[in-house]
Amino acid sequence: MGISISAAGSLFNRAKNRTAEIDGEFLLKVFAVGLVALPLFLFVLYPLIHILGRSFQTADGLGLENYITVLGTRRFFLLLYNSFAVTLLTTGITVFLAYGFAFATQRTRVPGKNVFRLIALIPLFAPSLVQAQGLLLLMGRNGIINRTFGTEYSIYGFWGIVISSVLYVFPYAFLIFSASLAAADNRLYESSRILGAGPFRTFMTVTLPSTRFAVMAATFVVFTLVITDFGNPMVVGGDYNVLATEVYNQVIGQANFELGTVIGMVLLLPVAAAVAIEKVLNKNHYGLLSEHATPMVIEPHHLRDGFFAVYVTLICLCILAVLGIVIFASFTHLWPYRLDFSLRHYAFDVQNGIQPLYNSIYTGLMAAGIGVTATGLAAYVTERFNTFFDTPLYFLCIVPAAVPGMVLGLGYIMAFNNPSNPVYAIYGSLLLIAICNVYYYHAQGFLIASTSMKQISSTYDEASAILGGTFIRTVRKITLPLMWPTLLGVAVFFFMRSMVTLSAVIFLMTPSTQVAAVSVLLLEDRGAVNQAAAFSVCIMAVVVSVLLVARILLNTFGHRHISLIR
Amino acid sequence: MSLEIRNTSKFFGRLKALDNVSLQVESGSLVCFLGPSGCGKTTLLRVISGLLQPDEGVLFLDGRNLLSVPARKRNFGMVFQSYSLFPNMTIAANVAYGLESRKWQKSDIAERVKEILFLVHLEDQALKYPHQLSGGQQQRVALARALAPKPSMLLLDEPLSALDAKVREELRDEIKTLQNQLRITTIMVTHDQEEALTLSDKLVVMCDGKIIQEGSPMDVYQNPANSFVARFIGRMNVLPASTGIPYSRNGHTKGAVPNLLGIRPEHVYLTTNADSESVFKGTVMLIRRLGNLTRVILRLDHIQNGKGPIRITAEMPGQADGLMIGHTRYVSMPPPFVRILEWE
Ligand SMILES: Nc1ncnc2c1ncn2[C@@H]1O[C@H](COP(=O)(O)OP(=O)(O)OP(=O)(O)O)[C@@H](O)[C@H]1O
Ligand SMILES: [Mg+2]
Repeated sequence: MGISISAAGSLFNRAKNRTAEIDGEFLLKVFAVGLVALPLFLFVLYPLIHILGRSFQTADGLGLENYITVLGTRRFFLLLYNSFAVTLLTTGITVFLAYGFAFATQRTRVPGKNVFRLIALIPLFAPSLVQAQGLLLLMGRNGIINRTFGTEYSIYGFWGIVISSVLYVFPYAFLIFSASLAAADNRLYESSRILGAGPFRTFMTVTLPSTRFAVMAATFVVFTLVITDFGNPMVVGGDYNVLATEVYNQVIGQANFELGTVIGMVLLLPVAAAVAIEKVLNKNHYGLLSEHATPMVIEPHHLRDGFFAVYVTLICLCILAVLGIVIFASFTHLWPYRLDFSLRHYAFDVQNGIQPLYNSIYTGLMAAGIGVTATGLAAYVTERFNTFFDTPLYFLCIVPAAVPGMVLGLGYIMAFNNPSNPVYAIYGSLLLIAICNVYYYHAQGFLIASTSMKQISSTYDEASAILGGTFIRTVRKITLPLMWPTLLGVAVFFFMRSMVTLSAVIFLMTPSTQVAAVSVLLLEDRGAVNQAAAFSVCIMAVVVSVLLVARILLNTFGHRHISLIR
Repeated sequence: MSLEIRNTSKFFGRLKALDNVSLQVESGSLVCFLGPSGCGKTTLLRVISGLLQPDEGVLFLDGRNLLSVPARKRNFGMVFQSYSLFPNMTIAANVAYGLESRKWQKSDIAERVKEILFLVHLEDQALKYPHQLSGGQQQRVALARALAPKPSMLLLDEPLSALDAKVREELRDEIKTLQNQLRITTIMVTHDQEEALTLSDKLVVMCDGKIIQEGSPMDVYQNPANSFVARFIGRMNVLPASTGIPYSRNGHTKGAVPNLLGIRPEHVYLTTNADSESVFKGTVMLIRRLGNLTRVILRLDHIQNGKGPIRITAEMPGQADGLMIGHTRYVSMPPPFVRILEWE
């Protein structure tokens, strides 16, 4: 009797639970999941499907014709070879150099570490082709070297691309190694020393193995950046073509979308593979540092410190030379013939005047706003809602990392340059460019936000609920106040990338929506090196000012540990 | 407010974290959940609070079904193990949070915050931030925050475990005083048996998601339901009945044969001569002098279990002067104190 009553009770209770679940909170969750997922479908997957479809589209229906046309040519194999040659060499050099640089700033007693760190990161504030720009000013036909020594040397071609690419990706690799080398367990080093190992042996048996994941991560990140970069090869490549420049030439030069998309798809494969491998490898590297790890104590060592002081100084000189010459050239009367001081290139009496810079700032601000909203919401939903959709949603959020910017941009043309698509209403506007930038960098923004969300204990949410706080009140009073420093960092990240990126937006801009980074490319292409330099300097100035304002804001409110440079 | 939990179960995947739990919590009483790590204490508390929905079972508060009431409307107060004070708010704002959520008048809020901070002796810390307080102070704030909205029930999840011994004892007494003063129905999770024994009106011993025994602390201490409870609360000696130690049946069924017997160390007496029947010869293996108390571990030379001679713990007041390792003593275990823990 007692048993049957309680069984009935529990049945009743199950039914009751279910009705209780389908109340406001459940609907809110469904709504939020949709709010995160739908834009990702619309602005990432949908364009990708379109570009895939277009690559199979031929005069008489669907077919492999485009692929046969492209893949059957000798030129394609040359491009493939060129791309891989440049990318692999650049990756090797960068990983090696950046590791050494990070080692110097984290594991030696080189004086002025912070200054060196900052210099290594400066290239992130400049348009992504500034390295090629600077390299030409130094070693191009009209470069300083030829003018000074009367030589006829030319940097155009393979080595030009490799050098400018190394300088371009150096800060990304440095950041990864720096974070990895900063986390060290001193006990391992002490036991290695007690066992009588010398510095080299300690490095090989302790340091290198503990940073092997960083080495892999940096390798894949650098590989992806270089193989998809087209700004630097465009400017300094000369006759040396790579896959990325070919996409541009096919689409912009010859309006041949089909062939452009085929090469885009070819580019997508290695990038997607690299990102996938990196994510899989990264999954298993938790707990590298045990709970009882003690912080690293670095003893002075004259030979080591001296060597690395010279090493970092040389690298910093290279970085500064390339950037410095651009700044210098922007202030000369007419580079390289009249080097007297002049501000005339800042008058921007070129085609669109100063408008592209304003366009960039508007776009950056919009991207910051949209980006921080989209990734913040995505992080909240995946970290807090505990729905069935957490894993697929997480995956969807980081998919963009595997899509080259040019491919995404091309996908936007194919998907949205079509009056029957509602997004057509904003086609050709700065808003769509901002959206494109947001979804191009969505994965990184999302990871920053969700890492920080993980660190904010969910017991705050629970404490608030028990105290009678509604969901909205919890977010407004607790989650947002605790998250704002990180969210500001995410906004700055989107602004910064939006200001300097080239590849995602190149296909989307019209004369009236030209952005500053594209101006640099077009002016450089026309030989207007002074104005191009002036535009680059303006971009850097804007980015640095925004970073400074954000830094001051964060420091004022006691959030020194939030890093803004990513 | 009295709470009734009926046939409640909770699964985490395949793990049965709560297994058909039924419990009655009397109005105004303090109930302690005690048990080893991972036995489901927190899970049960979270089910009561509404932070977790049970998979089976019903909860009633004063006869009203609780399950359809979301956590924020249950009007319970809760203190978490990690304090969980909102780091972006002052102490006063933390305490006021629940009152604002309940839309109290501004002036009432100010008054209540003052009153409750006075109650936990933190009236002069109102404008500080949580990280500026000591662990004990933070836990007091957490208590104040939970009590401020006059909850119908107070839930405490190991509120003292992050504190050092001295502060813990102070705060333990303070909680008891507060609870007595306010007569608020309170459930407290702990895995410190001393805490549970001194604080609770009712002790609930849990293991593997099940309630093993419930009762007054005295009752559970004196009559442990099985060897698990006996070992977990106090350090009862557990002996096989096959040793032939005389025991008291204290009212149990006559015919059945006991399997395991238990006796508290303070009821194990040592003498130098074998003058009575129920004595066993033993050798002193270890002596711990704990100030006002001495704990002795002896080997009973003639009583074996499967693994060899049995060891037994005895406790006596004072210093036990003259007792040394290796001495022979006779152990007497008066039958009234020998309990039956398990039947064949
Ligand atoms: N959210 C969850 N998901 C999966 N398993 C859980 C979850 N919460 C608890 N568990 C598991 O349920 C069991 C009971 O956990 P619970 O936290 O209730 O134990 P506890 O008695 O409070 O232990 P402790 O004394 O260590 O706090 C444990 O095995 C735990 O691993
Ligand atoms: Mg617990």
